[in-house]
Amino acid sequence: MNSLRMRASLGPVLLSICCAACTAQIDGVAGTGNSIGPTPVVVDVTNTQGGELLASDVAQARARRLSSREINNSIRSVFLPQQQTPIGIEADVFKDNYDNQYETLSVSLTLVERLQSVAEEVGAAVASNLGGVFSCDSASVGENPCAGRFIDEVGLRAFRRPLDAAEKQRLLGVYEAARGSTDFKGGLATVVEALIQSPYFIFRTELGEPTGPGMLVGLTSYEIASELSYLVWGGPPDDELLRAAGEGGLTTAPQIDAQLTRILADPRARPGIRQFFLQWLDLGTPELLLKNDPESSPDMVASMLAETGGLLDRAFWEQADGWATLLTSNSTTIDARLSRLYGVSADTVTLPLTSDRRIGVFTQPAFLSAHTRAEPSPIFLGKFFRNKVFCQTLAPPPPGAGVAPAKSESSTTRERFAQHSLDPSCSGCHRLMDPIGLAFEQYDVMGRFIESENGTILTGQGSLDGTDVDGPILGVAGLANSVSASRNARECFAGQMLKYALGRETAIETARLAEDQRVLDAALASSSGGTSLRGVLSALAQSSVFRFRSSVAD
Amino acid sequence: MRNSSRRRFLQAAGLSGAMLPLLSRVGGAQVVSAPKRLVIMCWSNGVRRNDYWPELGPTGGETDWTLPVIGSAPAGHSKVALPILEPLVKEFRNDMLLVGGMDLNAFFDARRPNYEETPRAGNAHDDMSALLTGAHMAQYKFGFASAGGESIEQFIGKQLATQEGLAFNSLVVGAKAGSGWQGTISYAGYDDPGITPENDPEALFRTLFEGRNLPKGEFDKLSATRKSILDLLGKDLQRFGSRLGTEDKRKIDAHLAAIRELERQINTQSAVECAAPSAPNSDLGANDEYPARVKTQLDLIATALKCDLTRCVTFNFENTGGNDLVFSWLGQEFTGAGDEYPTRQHHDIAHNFFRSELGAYRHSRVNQWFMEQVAYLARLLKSTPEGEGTMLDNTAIVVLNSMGQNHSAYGVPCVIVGSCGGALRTGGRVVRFGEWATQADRAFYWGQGELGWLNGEQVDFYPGHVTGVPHNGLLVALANAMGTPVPTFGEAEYGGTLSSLLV
Repeated sequence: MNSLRMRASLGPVLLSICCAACTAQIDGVAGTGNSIGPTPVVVDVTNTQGGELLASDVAQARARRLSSREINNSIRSVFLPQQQTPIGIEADVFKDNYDNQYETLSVSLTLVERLQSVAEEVGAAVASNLGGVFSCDSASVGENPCAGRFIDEVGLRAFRRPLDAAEKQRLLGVYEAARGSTDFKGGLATVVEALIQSPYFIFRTELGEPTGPGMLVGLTSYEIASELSYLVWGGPPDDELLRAAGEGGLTTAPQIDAQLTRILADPRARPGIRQFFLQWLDLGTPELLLKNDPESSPDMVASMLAETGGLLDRAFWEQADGWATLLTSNSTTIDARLSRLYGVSADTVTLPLTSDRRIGVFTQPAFLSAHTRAEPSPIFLGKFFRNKVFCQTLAPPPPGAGVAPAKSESSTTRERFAQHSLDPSCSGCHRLMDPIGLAFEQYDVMGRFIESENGTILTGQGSLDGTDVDGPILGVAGLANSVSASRNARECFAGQMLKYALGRETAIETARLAEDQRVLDAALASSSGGTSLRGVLSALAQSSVFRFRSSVAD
Repeated sequence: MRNSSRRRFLQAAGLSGAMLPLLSRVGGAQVVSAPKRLVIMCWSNGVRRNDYWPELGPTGGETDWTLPVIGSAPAGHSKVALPILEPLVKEFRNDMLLVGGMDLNAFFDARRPNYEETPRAGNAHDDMSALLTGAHMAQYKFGFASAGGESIEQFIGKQLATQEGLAFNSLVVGAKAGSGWQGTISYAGYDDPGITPENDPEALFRTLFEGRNLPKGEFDKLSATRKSILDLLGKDLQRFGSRLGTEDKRKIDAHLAAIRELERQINTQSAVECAAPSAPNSDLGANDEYPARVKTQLDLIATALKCDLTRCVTFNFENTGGNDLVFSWLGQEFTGAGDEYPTRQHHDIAHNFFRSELGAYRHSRVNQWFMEQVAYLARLLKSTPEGEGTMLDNTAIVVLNSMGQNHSAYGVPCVIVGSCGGALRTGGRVVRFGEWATQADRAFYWGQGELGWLNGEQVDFYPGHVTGVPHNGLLVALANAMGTPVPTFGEAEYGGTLSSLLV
């Protein structure tokens, strides 16, 4: 029996600290911990024990509908590279603050109607500026051959794989039917309409080559190309990725890593990678950062997100130990608007931080603001750390638990939430959230540092329970340092990235990922000079769970 | 999307002028009797029941009731702030049927092994996928749900559209309602995350009336192009689905069904003659334009019904829990910062209605305003003669809230206006299911204040129903009233029709 099976049979692990009223369970799987450094190791069709990789080790093959963000980026990239005003569909529902999760992405009549309308608009736009996506002299080459080339070239980009002869023939049929009543460009506009509404445009497959059901199957090079580009850019593969895929050049780990390195150097990567981090940190919906505060405004929200985006960039792109930079950075870059929240002069750009007040991403106003409502909320903060830093699941609040203890002029946040630890019907769950959240008591809803509340000096005393770094914590600095040192948290981070990459719950895949020594090493590489976030991404892209699926049908 | 090429074409052709709607068919089925229609209107955040429920009269008769009167309650915390139903009652009392005592068991009883969390009646933000499906959600966690089956208007609408050759199975319309579990009450089937409502009046107009004013040649050309693409998509989808697993296939089937519906619409549109109203020239998306947007959407819905483009409509005013909608047009009490949120939006109002008399007023005034919008639609229908009566007589406007009073899924309000062609027993009746508090209970409850904590649960002290019935019986009754009868709808365990609603 390989160790994955053993692990799977142990999990999910119930936390023994929970009382009957609440359970938290650890989705992730504890790894083995013997770090051997970030040296790339080619792991092909084997698991880390050297045994054969089994179909049951990887996720099921399937088709993923693109998220609205991915559809809109694809429309722009394939059809309207020069268009300024965006054309696209409305946002889908989020799950766990991620916008690309499989369960939320279906096709409804509303979407199909909207796609039809968008496709007609884009078709007209392409026809009016055909040179933007395609060049062919129909006068000398002939209209039909040009239409054929259009279908080949634009179809390849739209479907992210070459069209087979039958597909091409059917699209030519659509072109010819339209050409009967319109001109050449009008006929191509109709082809564009058909491409955008096609299932091959709005779905991407993770199927591999046809095989029997229940088999381990490697994704095709074209599927890997899409997997990479939507992960890194939030958009479709470029011509170079498609060319590499066409040569079958995206099947081995080194080939994938080489292309990953290339597309990470593209300007599209920066906003694309930021998307993952912002969604992980619950910052994907800027409106939630607007507060009851004279300083609050959409401009202020933009400043907050710019500050956090800057740190995310620095942690991902510039730092060998990006994990530590993200969590414990001792400087930040701000603008004049944010200087008011930090209480420094308006011309401050680079602000050194002292760890008793500010440290890393968790004390940035964007993060603080996103995890409060009208008043600071230890609950939301605690829930974030349980769910997305330690990958633990909490039971939902019981009936009637909707209203937080009332704010008063004479009590502190800590006193207001003391009810939770006194009332046994609350304490089961809230002891998992509040002691983490109370480490944040020295910040208000805008993320200003406050020393006292209603005359009481605030200390930020909290504690961590049910993790590998349990113990008392003092303020956010204490929490950030604990998280930075936590092996569970780094494993969880890799799992969150995987959840974003695969677009689904990752309990099984995370277990498999943890078995993949290379990914584990990348995530845990503190003994060899720090955890590179880019290294985690690279290891993930080369891992078996990224490259293989178990087939479900012929 | 405000300027689609087709739209520009329409305008360029100068063909979007208002014309009288016609009810006639060319080559389609003959209309023998006036069609029955179902319009389900919904908003969220519950009602303050003191202000919602009528005072029952001494005879105990179903029609012996009055609106609650401001100041009529005993001294204490539970004064009536506003009679929420007044806008409907003063004009449509005899067309109304009030249904009380229904709980959303399909939501809070739901259990499936794959649920990440357990549904609780107190978290009624997540119940909209059960509201019109009557089915246990396929997937559930706090903050995400997918439906356990199709919603009632889809079920009815599909049958009627096929039988009667209607242009649309149904219309899923909103004013500020987003996607998925938090924005829609309409669902295509099992595991569907939801049919996104069309909130944009310009887009709704295009869906309903685009092409109807085109010269025949142009219309045929547009139809032919769309048909050839849809034909291609249908073939591609069948091929695409062949290599996929069960879950994927469900999505592909839904996609294919949507394509088939568009094909059916094209084929049907060419067989129906109906003149379009004038096109809205703005999406009316700004906060202060919300009342105008609601009115425009309701106008379009009424016209679509008059033209018999569909028989079933859902209209969702807002997201569950509201959103950033601020009711600024109701007065200065509704602007400024909220108690919990940066603005005094609906969710903030609903969370804080019990804190002060002003809070109670705000909550009920918002509900009353929504009822005024229902009255607007009812008026449009009632002013249109049809057969021996009016369109309203042949319609059931079913008004629902996805919550009871305190964000809970118990005691969900339901008002029906219009008898659906005489199938529903309206006549100004109040029908209460389950066991209700007695007058003695009432005296006790009045003394407790509006809302309080009991055994660790926040409870609503209004003397409403003590035990209720599953709301599925309402859905069954509506299917029966519309002439598409079923024995049960959604989870069969919740039983058949609530027969006292029907004639």
